[in-house]
Amino acid sequence: MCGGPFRNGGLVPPEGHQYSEDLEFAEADRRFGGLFSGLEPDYCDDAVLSEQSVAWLRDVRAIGKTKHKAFITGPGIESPSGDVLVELGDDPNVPGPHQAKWQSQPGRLHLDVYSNDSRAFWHPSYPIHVKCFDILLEVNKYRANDKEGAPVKIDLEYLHKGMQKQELWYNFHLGLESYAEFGQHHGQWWEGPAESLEPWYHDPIDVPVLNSLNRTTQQHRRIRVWARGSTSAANCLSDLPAELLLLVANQLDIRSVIHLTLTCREVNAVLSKNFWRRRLLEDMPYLFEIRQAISKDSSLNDAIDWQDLYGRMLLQSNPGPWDRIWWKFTDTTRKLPKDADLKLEYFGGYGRKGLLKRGNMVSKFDPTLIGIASRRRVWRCAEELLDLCDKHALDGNDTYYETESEDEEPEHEEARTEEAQHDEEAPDGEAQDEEDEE
Amino acid sequence: MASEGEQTVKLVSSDNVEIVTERKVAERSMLIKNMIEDLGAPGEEPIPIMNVSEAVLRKVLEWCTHHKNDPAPSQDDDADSRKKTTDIEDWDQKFMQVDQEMLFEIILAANYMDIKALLDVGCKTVANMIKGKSPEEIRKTFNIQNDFTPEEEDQIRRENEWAEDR
Repeated sequence: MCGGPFRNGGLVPPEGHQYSEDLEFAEADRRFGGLFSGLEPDYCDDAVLSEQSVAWLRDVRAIGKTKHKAFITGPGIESPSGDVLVELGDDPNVPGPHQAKWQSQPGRLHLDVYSNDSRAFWHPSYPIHVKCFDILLEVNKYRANDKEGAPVKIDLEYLHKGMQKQELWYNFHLGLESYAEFGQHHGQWWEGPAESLEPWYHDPIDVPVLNSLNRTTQQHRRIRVWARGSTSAANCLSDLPAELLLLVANQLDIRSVIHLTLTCREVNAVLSKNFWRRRLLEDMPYLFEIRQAISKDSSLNDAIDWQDLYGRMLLQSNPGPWDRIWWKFTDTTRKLPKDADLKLEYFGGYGRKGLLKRGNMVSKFDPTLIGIASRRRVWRCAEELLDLCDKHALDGNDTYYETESEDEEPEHEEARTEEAQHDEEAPDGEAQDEEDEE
Repeated sequence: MASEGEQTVKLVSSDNVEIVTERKVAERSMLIKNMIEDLGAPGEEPIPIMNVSEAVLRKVLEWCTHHKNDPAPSQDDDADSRKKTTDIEDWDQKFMQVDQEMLFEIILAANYMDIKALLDVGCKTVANMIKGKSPEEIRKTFNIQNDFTPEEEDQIRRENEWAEDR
């Protein structure tokens, strides 16, 4: 789902490896149009990632389908031959090992993944990181709360169907647009220097998000001065009742909101912590720890500088290469290359528009929270996938499936009136053959 | 009795002007819809719209007339408003091409009369006037007086540097 690899070898430098800032620059330089240096330290920075924080990439489950039922397996790993070797797990619909194509270890299942193998015993199975599936469930839960009456339980049938529909002809990943974010690194697998992919390699769940709350309590007071009764008679915008001004601000991107707060005291006062708290919870639903923390302890509401938290979490959610390079520069414990200031100036032209001057500004990027970026990305992928697997979307647009001759169990029929084709004896390979022709 | 579609209601603006309109049009306003239900005998008793002047009320009714056949607001509306699209359909865009005073009056009236879709269009229109502008440009657009001291402005600017390259 997330497009990431199911291996984690060779990402983090071996112990004792000397990380070279110079090489890092050569790399960044190359990516942004400088000369190709040919020196690529294809390791992630071990100050940002550890063996532990990339270990999640190995753990995989598979979403598959037998003749009648979709299933999700227990955890396992990718086998050297590119299939997955997984435990059966709790799902009663997981087929027994005796049905598998190959003999596998007792209690485990060896599954083909994707549909490139037309001899596949079942409908294609799709591998998904254990943690990605956890996030998928979390997203589903979040969306169910949003819409009254929507089922909280994930519908594996539709999930499998949606994944099948989105699988591209070259069989390696789902066609989710979210890959575009690091598009130049995504071919069959994530490609490119590991260093530029650091945030995406990090465990998306095991992130100490709540650590970010403690530090906000000591923030200085913000300017929140009410100016009722001032002489701005023709000031229509700030004459709007606060709740209407908030409705307007809800329609704005964050940068425009900030510009709005800079116009005058009254507007600045209206867009206060409640606004920022709501925007944080709405714009960054993947920070579920924060949501849970404030529902448990309402005193947090007042203790947190929500605007500051919003800013830091936004940066943390979308750290550009600049933010990481910047952080490395401002980290006093790091040895910097000789011409650091010069290079900083050069990078500053791209990244923070001249704000990057060494010692001028402390980086708010927090490498211990880099997993938030990974979480955000997986969350968005999951949202996108769930949109694609929406019952109505799939049932309403069935041209693809009519060629698939899926045989459904009778009890599913009333929900699937549009899937008229029930070809009992259709070989599973047929769907794949047609797909290959496309 | 006439069918619901042909029924008319009498509205009275804040400046005491009586406006007769189709019931279906007026009922785009939840305020009026609830009043009609409470009054029981539509068309006979005039309905006072206390906070809205004739000019604004006519404008609001123009919108309601165009949208009288829109599906009733569903529960999904709340979820949709989360998606921060500022797309406004063409007719509404033209409708909202009024001077600022009228624009804000329409928003206030939509809020008071409880016409969610119109309120939404109004807020989006204002949002579009703000988007992409610098603080100074926003002030100019809305004739807002800058009442920050230079120090305060500088502080807020520094606090929010993070937003500039996002």
